[in-house]
Amino acid sequence: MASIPGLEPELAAAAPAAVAGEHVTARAQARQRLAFLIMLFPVLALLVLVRLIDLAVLQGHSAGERAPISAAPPRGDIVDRNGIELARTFEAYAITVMPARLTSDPELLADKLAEILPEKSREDILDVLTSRRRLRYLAHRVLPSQAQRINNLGDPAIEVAREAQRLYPNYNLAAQALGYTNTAGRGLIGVEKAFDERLADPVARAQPLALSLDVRVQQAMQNELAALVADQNAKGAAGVVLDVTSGEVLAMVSLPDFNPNVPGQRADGTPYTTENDDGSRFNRVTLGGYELGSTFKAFTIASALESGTLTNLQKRYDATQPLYVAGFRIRDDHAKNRWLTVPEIFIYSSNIGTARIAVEMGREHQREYLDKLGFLKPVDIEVKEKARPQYPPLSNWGQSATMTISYGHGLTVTPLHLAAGYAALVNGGIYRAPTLLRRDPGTVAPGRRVFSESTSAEIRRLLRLVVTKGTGRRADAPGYRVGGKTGTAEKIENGRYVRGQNVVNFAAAFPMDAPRYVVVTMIDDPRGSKATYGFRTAGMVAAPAVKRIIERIAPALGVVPDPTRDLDLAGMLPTPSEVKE
Amino acid sequence: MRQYLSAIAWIAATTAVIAGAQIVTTKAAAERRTVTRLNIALVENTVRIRELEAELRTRASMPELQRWNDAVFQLSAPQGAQILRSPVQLASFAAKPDPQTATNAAPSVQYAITRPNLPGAAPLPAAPRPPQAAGARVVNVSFPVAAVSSPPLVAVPAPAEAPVFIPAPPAAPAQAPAPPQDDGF
Repeated sequence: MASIPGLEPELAAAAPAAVAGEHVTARAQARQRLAFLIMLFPVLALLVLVRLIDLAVLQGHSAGERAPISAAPPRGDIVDRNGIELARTFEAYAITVMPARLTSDPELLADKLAEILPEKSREDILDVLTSRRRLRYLAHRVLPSQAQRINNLGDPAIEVAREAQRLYPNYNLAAQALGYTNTAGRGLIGVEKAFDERLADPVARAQPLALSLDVRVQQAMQNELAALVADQNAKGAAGVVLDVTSGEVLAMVSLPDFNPNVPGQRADGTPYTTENDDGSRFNRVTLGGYELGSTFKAFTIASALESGTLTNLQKRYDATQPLYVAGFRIRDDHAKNRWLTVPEIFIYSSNIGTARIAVEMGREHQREYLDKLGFLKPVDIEVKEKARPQYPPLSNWGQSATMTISYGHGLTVTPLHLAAGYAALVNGGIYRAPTLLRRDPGTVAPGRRVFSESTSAEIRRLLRLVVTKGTGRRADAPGYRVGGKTGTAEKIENGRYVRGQNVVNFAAAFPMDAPRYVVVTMIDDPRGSKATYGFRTAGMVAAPAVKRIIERIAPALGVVPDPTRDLDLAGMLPTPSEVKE
Repeated sequence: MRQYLSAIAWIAATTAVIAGAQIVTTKAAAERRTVTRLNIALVENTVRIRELEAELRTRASMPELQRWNDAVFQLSAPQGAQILRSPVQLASFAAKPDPQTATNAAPSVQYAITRPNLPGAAPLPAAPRPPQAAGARVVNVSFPVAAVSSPPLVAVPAPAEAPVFIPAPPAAPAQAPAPPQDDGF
């Protein structure tokens, strides 16, 4: 056996014999593997790139979408027309406890916590600390100093957390108009509900929502009406101040009221139930339907003037005796028992005279103008709580309905309807829907014409005459040229009149030579007092309150009193000799 | 040799570019972090300001002011006659000199109004004036009396364009209340 030269004989004997072309094959295989590896890297890189694109583009968010570092509150602020905060959200301190993880003695800890949180009883705190639940809230809206002291107690089971809380700095002020939110931060009533999306919008919430309300006017009216309700032992009250040229609501008061910071609690601290609900969350201004009585006479006379039925205010109507229609008797509370001119009918609030004017005008004109004034549908305002007016169907709107509606009976509307209607009466005849949003001068709605300028001028003189010579004399705030009309009606409960219970109201405007504001007040079931000599009528109860309200709000609203200016009321009333004739 | 030099040059250039890019990136990231920190600080301060504002607004809320007024100040709304419409009307309220007690002393009584000067009004007498609020005009009225018999008038600070308030005239003697009459219905 021949040996391979240079190879050890043992090795040479063990090594297999070389095959021709073996090296070429091995080299080719190595090349293939290398090529595979070389191709693998780009593929891997491609996979990484695809994944990066997926993460960065498909699953990621652009810089704009990323939550920016922003000081915008979780829910937009609400401010009044002058920028005063009415509602705002801030990060309050809340104290949570995980009772199972307490390291301190609950009894001792309860003592210490009761010292820090005086509004909580030791028993309540101990109840939370010994609860079997995993997590309990010990307190919400804790002051920073209290939170610090609790944190210093050092128990790991007690945690000081931050949570968004809605704060109403003015407590009960305009509570029903503003509304409140639930624990999830959604508006439940009032402006909070009507503008819920706007207030929660991530972009829009950075800017506060400016309302038309004026806290000074709101406070003045709320304070005066609350004093009146207490004095009269009344069931409630409502009030509106409206800008006659823009329809902006400067004040919206409904009593009794509530504290929107603790909406689930009554004023005495007890929780609301269906049994003890005193109606304090009920907005009487927009949701309360009332027969508003003689304040409607102004609309009847204006409609008669506008329709051409009444061409001369000195026209006389027979008010010598009561009217009988459809089994009902229409009488005057303070009957003059003679023929009365239109101004006399108005200032003495003659139901008989007004009914005669309405019959002369006719049902169609009456309905037409009531419809134009928005009295036949819910008032057009932003809040959702709106009452539907109650009135007879056309088939049942006969002569008796025409007569009773002419002096404000047989038709229920809200105080806001009345305010918007009076604004149209005195502002030159333009009806503008009331609004709770501040309107800049350039954005005032054009409105719709209901009455002519001349009709409006005549009504202004009549309203002023009521305050200078008629039933509204106690509303005459010196220098402010107040005009208005009283209204007293029996209260309706469950569809029936309640004898002895009245709803009294007074609709006023000032200054009457160039009206700027309408003030409407309504008192629900006044009981009389020493201040009103026991009387419960609008002229004795509501008119003095309107005077006080106007004297408080007029300087703030820039209305300067001027005793030297007034409307020309000469010739409106007949002379004594003419009366005798 | 040339190949080695070329490779070294390429490596050096690439390293320099990468290092430069890294420096720029690092500086940009640092700047961005600073801006972010500043934004966070701004937001924290804004939130803190809001908290303080909330406390302030709550303490100075209208119901609180009303409570203070009812309990302590007991201020009432000005009556129509207390609000003046012109400086002439204001000056007419100046105390009349009392000849019985007249002396050579000349106390200076000042009245501040915020109304603009009436057209054609006579220039005011030159007199040393104390510092005054912008927009307010001061009328100096002097008379040779030792004492002022009527209630002293004071300049009431008023916001711009607001009407002027003066103290109410002495209350009329109490009258018997008019007999009650229900004239409102």
